[in-house]
Amino acid sequence: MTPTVPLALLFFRVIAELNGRPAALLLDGGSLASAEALDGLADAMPCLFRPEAVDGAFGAALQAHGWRPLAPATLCRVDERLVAEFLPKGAAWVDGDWCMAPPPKATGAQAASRVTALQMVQLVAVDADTHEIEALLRRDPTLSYNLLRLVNSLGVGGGRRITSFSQALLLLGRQQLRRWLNLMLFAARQGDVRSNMLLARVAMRARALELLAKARGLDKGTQEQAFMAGMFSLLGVLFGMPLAEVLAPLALGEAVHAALLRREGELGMLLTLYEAAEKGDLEGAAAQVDGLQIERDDFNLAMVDAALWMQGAVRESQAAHG
Amino acid sequence: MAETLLERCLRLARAARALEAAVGVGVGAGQAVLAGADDADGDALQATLAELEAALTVALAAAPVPAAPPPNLPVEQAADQSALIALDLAGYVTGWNDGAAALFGYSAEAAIGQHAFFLDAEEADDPGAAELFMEQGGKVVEVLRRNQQGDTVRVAMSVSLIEDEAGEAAGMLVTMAPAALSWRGAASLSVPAPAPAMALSESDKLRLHARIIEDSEQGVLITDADERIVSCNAAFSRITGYGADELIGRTPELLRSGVQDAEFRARVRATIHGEGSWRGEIVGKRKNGELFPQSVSISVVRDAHGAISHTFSLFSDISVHKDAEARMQRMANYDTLTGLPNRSLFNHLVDQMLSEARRATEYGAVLVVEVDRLAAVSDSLGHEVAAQALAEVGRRFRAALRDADILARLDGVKFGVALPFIEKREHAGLVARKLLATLHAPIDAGGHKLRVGAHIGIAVYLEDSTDTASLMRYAEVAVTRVDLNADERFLFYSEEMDQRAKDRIRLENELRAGLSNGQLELHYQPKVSLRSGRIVGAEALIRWRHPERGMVRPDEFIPLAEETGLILEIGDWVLDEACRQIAAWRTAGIAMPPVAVNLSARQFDRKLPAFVQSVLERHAVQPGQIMLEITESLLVGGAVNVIAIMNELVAMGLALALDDFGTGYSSLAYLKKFPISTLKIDRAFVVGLPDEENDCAIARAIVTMAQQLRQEIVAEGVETVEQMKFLRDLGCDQLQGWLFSPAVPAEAFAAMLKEGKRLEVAR
Repeated sequence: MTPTVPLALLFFRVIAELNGRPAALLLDGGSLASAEALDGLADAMPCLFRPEAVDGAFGAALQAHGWRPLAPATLCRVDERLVAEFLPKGAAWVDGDWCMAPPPKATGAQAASRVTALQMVQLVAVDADTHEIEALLRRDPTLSYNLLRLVNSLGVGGGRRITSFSQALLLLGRQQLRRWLNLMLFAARQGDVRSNMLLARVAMRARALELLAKARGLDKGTQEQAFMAGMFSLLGVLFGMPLAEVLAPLALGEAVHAALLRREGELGMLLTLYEAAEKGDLEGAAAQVDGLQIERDDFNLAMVDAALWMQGAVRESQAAHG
Repeated sequence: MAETLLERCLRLARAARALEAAVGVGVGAGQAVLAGADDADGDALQATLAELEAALTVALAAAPVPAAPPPNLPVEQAADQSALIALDLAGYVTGWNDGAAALFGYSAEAAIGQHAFFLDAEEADDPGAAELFMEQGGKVVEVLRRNQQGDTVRVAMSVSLIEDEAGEAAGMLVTMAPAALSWRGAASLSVPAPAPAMALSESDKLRLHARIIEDSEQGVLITDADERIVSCNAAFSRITGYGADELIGRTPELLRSGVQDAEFRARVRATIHGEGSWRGEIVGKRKNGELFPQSVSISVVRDAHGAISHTFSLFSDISVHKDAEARMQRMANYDTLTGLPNRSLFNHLVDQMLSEARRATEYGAVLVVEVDRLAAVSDSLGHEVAAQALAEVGRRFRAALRDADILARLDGVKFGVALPFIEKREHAGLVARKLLATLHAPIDAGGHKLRVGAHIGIAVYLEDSTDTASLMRYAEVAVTRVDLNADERFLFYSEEMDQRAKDRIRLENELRAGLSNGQLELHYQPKVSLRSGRIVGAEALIRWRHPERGMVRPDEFIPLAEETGLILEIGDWVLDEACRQIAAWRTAGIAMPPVAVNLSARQFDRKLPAFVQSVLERHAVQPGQIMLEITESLLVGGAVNVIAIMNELVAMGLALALDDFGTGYSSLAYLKKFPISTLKIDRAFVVGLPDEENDCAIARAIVTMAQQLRQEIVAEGVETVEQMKFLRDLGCDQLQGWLFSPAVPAEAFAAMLKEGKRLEVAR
């Protein structure tokens, strides 16, 4: 099946409720070879699309999967600090880069998520498999960051580059991990107003980059590195510090470094591509997708999968926050 | 600013005291589930807090103005010289007073910026510290730490939170004093007891714990001392279908499936009472009566007198995993036509039989039965009729054998029979006659009455050989020598039949010589991505360039090398040669994807990680450049040790692949314990794709399992475009096989990479 018109790229943005919590998905445009892939997305959170941006058939498919057309007046865009009182009347959703604005004060790299740390304590307590602990770690950039930093700081890796979370976990060992989690838990705190939204974005980025690396035919190790690159790409914003400074205490693989700081290498290209899509430059992104020889439908499916993954991460953190 | 810090500490201390008072009455109903939180020493805490306040007041008055500004929170010299260490929220040292310098020997410059764990003593056996924050709240614990000289010191430690102006956590304050001193000095004011922590008040802790339990994805069930259910969480209700209101006050009896017997339950109970916990897989029953497999861990909570006050269980529903697993086990181990074990299960069962026979020094026999005339039946009456006849032969054989005898369909028209515990050799002959006799009566198949016969080869354990592989081989040799015109259509193996035994000795000597004379070489078989078609790796495969016989394939000499132990030297050579080649390619400026090297189970010992490390270093090869391929038999062997070695290798940055997946016995639950990143689908299952339903189902099950564990899937032995397409659509990641390229010499592989050879994989 070779469509005469190349498939338009699909991209979702996470939009917030008025209080800044990630609460809905907004589809800007694009299409899918098979709308089945959309199953489940609308069960987890409201899913909206701009009717004018998709063709009629796909619009109908979206509605059939629980998506609703966006009423333009309900969406407002905020690129600076989010203050609920200043939002226009009738607004229900907040789009924009407000969460990328500098935090009220630099939080530094320390604050760990209490929720994840607690869940991990639980897992370690029942002596769960490394796979399970790793899966949880993948949902929390701050905890992941702190773990990699600790492994490097203690020198348990013998100066080795850390290329996967499982490697870091194994280097540290279970006993140390347990003690470290208790320490992290002790000082854990809630993030600022931006952090939920940033975490949602990070989740999308990390998973999307991993899947794009896969779609590009890169091996598992590189996919893992791509995930890390996505996950750490917004740490500077999250901590309110220059990214280079944030990354300095980690012994990341060179590929991740090059991607994050210079947008170089395979991972750098994928990150550039994703950022173009995130900024709404879907045409530019499409050209890059073609250039990277990634099938457009693979790109689109990766975005759907990344959105599902993000919903999982958000659900987990919000449920636990109550 | 020191004033701010100290004032903060003061304020904290006061707040904590207030809090402590409140908590005394605040521990409320509904929290009984978390038994064990006793706050009997509230009074002591009060006293300690008062002491802290006093000490800090003195310190505040005496504190000089510090030079360093935040964030390096200065921990100023306390009047008493006990060690004060300030940490940021991630545990890195930001402040270090003279007391700390005196206690540990590090200067402030050396300590600041390090993670608090840098003081850990290696033999730190301090469960106390592990529980410090969560379990023991504000208590002082004794722990082991290491000073700069490398000596272990026992210290009394406590931790408290530093808050900023907004009341948010800004760091931690650790107080330490030599433990011996603090005992002696407890009564004197010169060494104040360390400060208690205030991170989580008791009520916060209980609230938090309750919350965690409620939101856990695992089902949680709590019973009291009389085994009555006192609490369960939402996940538990979701899994079982019972609401909390239906469960509270009942016993877990109603969740019982009846699959496990009372003896099993007694054993579990005994384990729990003895070790305090039990973990395993059991079958549960949902409200709708459906049975489901669950992974459970059960632990007891004891009261102050050591009596069990509660039992709590954590459950996960693993029915999804189990389904795929059971299906796969069934398909991988049983023949679908006859329902009998297949060759691989047969070998496994014979292994077991032999190990038992060895213990009991009993005789055992292996028979290979080849059914005659079925090929002719298939040609004239069709495949279906022949298949029916074969199934009937299987049934007759089964009926003729004892329960303990093993019957399997090996392949095509061959059956395997294993007879454990025969008294003497001749008994195997009696059984052979009995089997042949079952075929005297004609077989009804597809409306035809068929007459089939068979001939049988027999090898006897203890006399002919002591291992499964040889026994099987001897029986196969014997079956080919049966004289089809003779009266007795079975034959015992005899040594003259096997020229191979002699050949073997010669081969072994030649191989030994070949290894030292440089006759071994590595060829590289590319792995290509099923997404991009590009080369993403290679498997290094050994070849033997024999001076007279030319290139010898590994399956002709590796089994021998395994038997003789020569595999150890060969394995070491392979790793070294692969690394040498990678280094040579690097020098030549060729960007090389990771190269996979096969490891024999016999190489897998304690010394392996160090050996691998030394080879990598010798050739300056990065660990990420090497992937180690291991076989499934390794996992089934001696698990604990193997996991530790694997973990060490992965921690070094190496990736592990599981070769020949699907041929052995590893289950998903089992597989999860190993840090394996890649699964290879054995060529045996690839051959039948996409036409053989059984092979397709196995491939699908493997892919499903691998995806659950986020493992990469590589299909081996892919020869046709149809196989490639099927595997690609299944979600398989990579393939290797003749479709793209056979294993080629190093130069040819490098050339392939340079020219960017690709496989057409587009849909």
